[in-house]
This record gives sequence, structure tokens and C-alpha cells, in this order.
Amino acid sequence: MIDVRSQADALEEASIHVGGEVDLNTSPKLREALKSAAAQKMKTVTVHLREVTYMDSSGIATLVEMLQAMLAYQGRLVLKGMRPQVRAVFEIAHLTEVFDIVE
Amino acid sequence: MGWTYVAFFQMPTSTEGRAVPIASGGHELSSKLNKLLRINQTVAATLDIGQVLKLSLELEREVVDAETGSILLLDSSGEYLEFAVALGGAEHILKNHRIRIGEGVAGAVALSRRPLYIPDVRKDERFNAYFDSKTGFQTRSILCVPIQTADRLIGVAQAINRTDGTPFTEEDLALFSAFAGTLAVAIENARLHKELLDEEKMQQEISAARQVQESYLPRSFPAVPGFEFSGQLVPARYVSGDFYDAFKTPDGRVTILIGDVSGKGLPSALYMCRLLTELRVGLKYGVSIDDVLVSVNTVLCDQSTRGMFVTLIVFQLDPASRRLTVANAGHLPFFMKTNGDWREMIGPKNPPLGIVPRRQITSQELVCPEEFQILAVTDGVTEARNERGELYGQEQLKQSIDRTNLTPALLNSYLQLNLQRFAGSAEPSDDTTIVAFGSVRPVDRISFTIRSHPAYLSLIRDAAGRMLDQATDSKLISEIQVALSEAVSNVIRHTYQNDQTRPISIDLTLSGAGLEAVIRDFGPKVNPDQLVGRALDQVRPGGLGIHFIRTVFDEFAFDSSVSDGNRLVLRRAFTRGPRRAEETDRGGAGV
Repeated sequence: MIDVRSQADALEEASIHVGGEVDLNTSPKLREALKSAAAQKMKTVTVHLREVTYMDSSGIATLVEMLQAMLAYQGRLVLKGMRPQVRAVFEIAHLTEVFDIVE
Repeated sequence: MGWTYVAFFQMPTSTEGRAVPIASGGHELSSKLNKLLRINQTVAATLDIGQVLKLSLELEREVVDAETGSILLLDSSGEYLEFAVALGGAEHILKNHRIRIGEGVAGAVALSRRPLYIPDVRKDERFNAYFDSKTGFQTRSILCVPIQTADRLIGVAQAINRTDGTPFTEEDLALFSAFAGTLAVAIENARLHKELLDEEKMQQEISAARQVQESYLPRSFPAVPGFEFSGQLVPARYVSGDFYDAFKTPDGRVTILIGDVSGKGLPSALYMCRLLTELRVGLKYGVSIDDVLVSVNTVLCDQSTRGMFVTLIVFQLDPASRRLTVANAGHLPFFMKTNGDWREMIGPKNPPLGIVPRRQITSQELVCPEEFQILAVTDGVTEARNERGELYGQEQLKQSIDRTNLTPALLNSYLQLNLQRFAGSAEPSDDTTIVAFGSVRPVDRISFTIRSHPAYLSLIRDAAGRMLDQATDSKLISEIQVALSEAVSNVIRHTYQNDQTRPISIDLTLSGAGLEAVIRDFGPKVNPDQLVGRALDQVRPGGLGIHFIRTVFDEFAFDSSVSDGNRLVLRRAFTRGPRRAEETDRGGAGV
């Protein structure tokens, strides 16, 4: 199960709230929301992960893809409120330094 | 119900605001055509069928200067034209009358589907004076035209008596026919619109029924050490009256019930609520199952809701003695697993409740062995069909459970996932409800076979989590869950190339040394040398899965002895016993 909600906070800022489990089955839904924000060339996109209880490599791949798309136009991708078990996955992948991760 | 709208209008006593033709001529005709056009537009834009007919009668009166008139519609049998309502004094007289096709002027027009005008009814034998005699109205001249679409008759429209006393003319008939054409389109539009509204109303009813149904399902299951109780109801688009319940009674026993109310929609859902209330009240206050069912049956029979009835199974388990009382009222037999084998249990049969009052319900008493599981389903499960119309069936259910050793809650999720995979894109026609319960002890082995669909990934994680729960710390559990999920994801994506219908067997074994996971598939052979995780300094999507698996598992090996497909063996060593995350020497980061 996954729950994804997007909102525009300002002219060039968007938030994406994600909840549930992000895996091969559910990550396409997250990808859709992220792609739409990147397509609008949002300067800052904050992905709220507090409600995410599980993330696998397909979820990470989705976020990496988004990061690359945003870096291409000097956008900023912020990952907010990660739970420890999700952060652990980022750590295994050595990606904590690559992403802009905030509490 | 047929379409039975008829409206009559009365001549207004005043002609105020209405053009009174002084003489027949070009000016009058063009003014009539203008009116026809204007009112046609109004009628065509109206979607309420009653409104369409009312406007039409206004038009009728204005265009052909009729004293009165009517619209009759073909009934559902197609054999009669029906009067249903009329304005003025004639309404109650005509309301319940109908005219057989072929009889009288209207019947003749319906039969021939051709317009007809009768300048003087006294000279026409088709005219039936019956309605005049009933209403006291004197008919002199009639215009009658069929209302029809290209392929079928909808009804007929009649105009009676010109206001100036002269007979109707051919010109009036032509105008009236043109009007009937518009009317046909307008009535068809209004009917389609009504169908759409009905559909929408039905959708609202469905969601109301679903809410009612959901509000009655238990939010949690009784917690009894050494046992697990579970229930899952997946509603179909057209909600039926499936239900289940699980609660503790004050004497420490646990009641589990599952059933199905006949019929669909809100009435079934409401019937279900009444039933559950009766059952809960009785069973929670210590009345025996037999007595409760007899009294519920009496109540349902007394307040019989037209042919509605219910099939159900009630289980009552005393966890201390493992004594199980079961009463089955017209429901499918349940399954019981003892000594590793599932068997269908056909006990004493009772008819469904709510059909005939009875004095007795026969229940069955079993003493369960230390390890047992019970499974019961509604017919939505066994009668599920896939896109090709094939039945899921009792046999497939049996095969599905035979190949697993999941705990009740996992078994429940597993079977619901199997059903969804089986149905594919076929719209489920019935709710599917499953209850499973039984003894649970710390398990050291879990095995099951899934389809290669990512929807099963969360089940795999749950199964691993369930097994490792008391065996190690939560951080390692979640890492193992990730790595296992990744390994199965890889089979789905790479070995099976996203074909979501292939089998994958999962076998998890917990020992004093740690965890062994075996993942078996039947796809093309994997060349282990080509399995390389991506270099971590490259930031790009993909290739992470293998890296995760290698990080978490000490051993990652393909069993070369299997002839078809792949057998991946994963091992992770740890000392058993729950530990706090801070105390572990092996964490996820940087391992």
C-alpha cells in the first residue's frame, strides 16, 4: 500500500507526501508524482517520507532518477523526515551524502 | 416500469398573450414555424422527461391551436399505449386506461406508424367514443402522429379540436409531425439522462452499503497468546452482504464467524448489520451457539425481508482446552489443518437462517490438537472467475493451502493475493471473505509459492518479519526484509522479465545459527558472474538490489544441482534472541 499526495507550495516549490510501503509494486505511483513535479521545473521539491515504513531499491532508484532530472536544471530535491529503517536503506546504498536529507 | 407519462391540457379561459389566428395565410404559417423552431429548441434542451412532455403539450396547443391533447407512450410490453396522468378533470379518469395497439385512433397510428388526421370523428369508424363518454368532452377533430425513432415506436401524440371550431388541416398535420420528430429525440435524451442518473444513484447506494458493511467489521482481532485470528473482506464493486467477526466472550472463549447474506446492495448490508448485532449480543452474553442461532433465525423469519436469508459458520474456541464448537447454517464446509494436512470438514448441516423457523440447530464439538488451523471462506472465493470465465473453485483453494505453512494472518493475505492474481482484470462479482485462525508458536520454517507479481513482496516481508520477530533485533529484521524483497524483485524483473504469472517458491528456515532463505524460480539460468552490484560512487538508478542482498546476507549462492530454473540460497548468521539495535555489532551502515 502506498499513498502519494502532491501540492504546489509556491510558484516554484512543491511538496510530495508519501506514506506506506514503497517497493517494486508501488514505486511507479511515486515516480509519476515526481516526474510531474520535475516536468514543471519546480526549483525545490520536498518529499515528505515520515509516513513511509519501507523502501526498497526501486524506491531509491525512483528518487535517484528524480535527483538527476532536477540537477539538470539546477533544481533542489529535499528528502524530509525519514524513519530509521528507511534511512538504513539509504546508508547501505551510500546515498546519504548524495541526497539533501533533512529531519 | 414502462413509461407512462401523459399530460392533458385544458384550453385557457383567456387567450391573453397568445396569438389568435385571424385568417389562415402565409403570415400565420411562418409564425407557427417560428414557434415550432423555438419550442423545439427548448424541448431538445430539456433532460427531465416530465418537463419534456409538459413543454411538448404547450407546443402542441400553440402550434396547431388545439383545445386539448395528449401524449401516450408505449408500455414495457409493447402491446399497449398508456395514459398515466392528465391535467384538469380528465386526469383521474384516464389515468388507469390503456389502449391496445391497433384499437381506436391512437392504436391505429401506433400500428401503422403513420400520421393520421380526422377532420370529423363522426364520420370515422376508428374513433372510439368511450373516453368522451367518460370525460364528458366532445371530440370533433383529431390529429394523431407517431412518436418514433429510426427503429422503434415510443408513443403517439394527439391534438383534439381546433380552438376556432374548424377541422384540422393537412398543414396542421405536417407541423404536428415535425413536432413529433423533435419530441422523439427529446424523450430519448431524457430517458438516457435518467439512466445515467439511476447509475449514479446506484453508485451512491453502493458506497453507502460499503460504509455500512465496513463499519461492522472488527477493527482488531482478539489477542490470545499462542493463537492468531484473522479475517479479510475484499468488497466487490457491487457490495454483497459478506461479513465476519471475531471477539472474546467474558468467559475467555473466542467467537469467530463468517457468513454471507443473499442479495446485494444496501438491503443486504443492512440485513447483515441487524444479524451481526443479534449474534454479538447473544454470544457475548454467554448464550450457547445453538440457542443464539435458533433465536436469530426466529427473528429473521419473523421480520422476513422478502426472500433474504443468510448462510454462516460460527466457531467458538476455548483457548485453554482447545475445545472448538462449530455450527454451520447452510455455509460452505470449512477446512482444518492438523498434522500438517488440510482437510475439508463436513459437520452437521443446518439450513440457512431466515428461511423457516426451526427449534433446533445442530452444532459440532471438536477438540483441536496442539497445532491446528481453521480456514473458512465465502462463496465469492470459490466462485471467483478470471477473464476467461474460469472458476477458481474449491480444488484450487485446496491446492493453494496445501502448499503453504503460513500462520493464519499470512495465509489470509496470501490467499487474497492469489485470488486477485487469478481474477486478473476480471471484475469481481462478489465479495471475497476469508477467516483463518489457529495455534501459532514461534515458527522456524515458512514456505509458500507465489506468482511473480510485485504485489506479493509485502507478504514476503511480513512472513520474514513474523518469523524473525523474537529471534533478533528490529534493525536486522528490517534489513533482512529489504534484502529478501530485493532478491524476489530481481527474479520478477530479470529472470522472469516482468512476466507476472510465473511461480516463485520461498522457503525460510530459522535455526540456532541464523536464517536461511531459499528462493526457487523456473526461469532461464542466471549466470552468477554477471550479477554485479553497481559501483556505489556512481549515482544512477538500478543495480542496487544485488548490493543490498550482498550487504545483508553472508552467503549468496546459486545451487548448481538444480536442472531447471534457479535455486538461490541466502544465509545470514546471527545469535538468536531479541537484541536492541544499539547492541548489535552488525548494522546496516557501511557494512
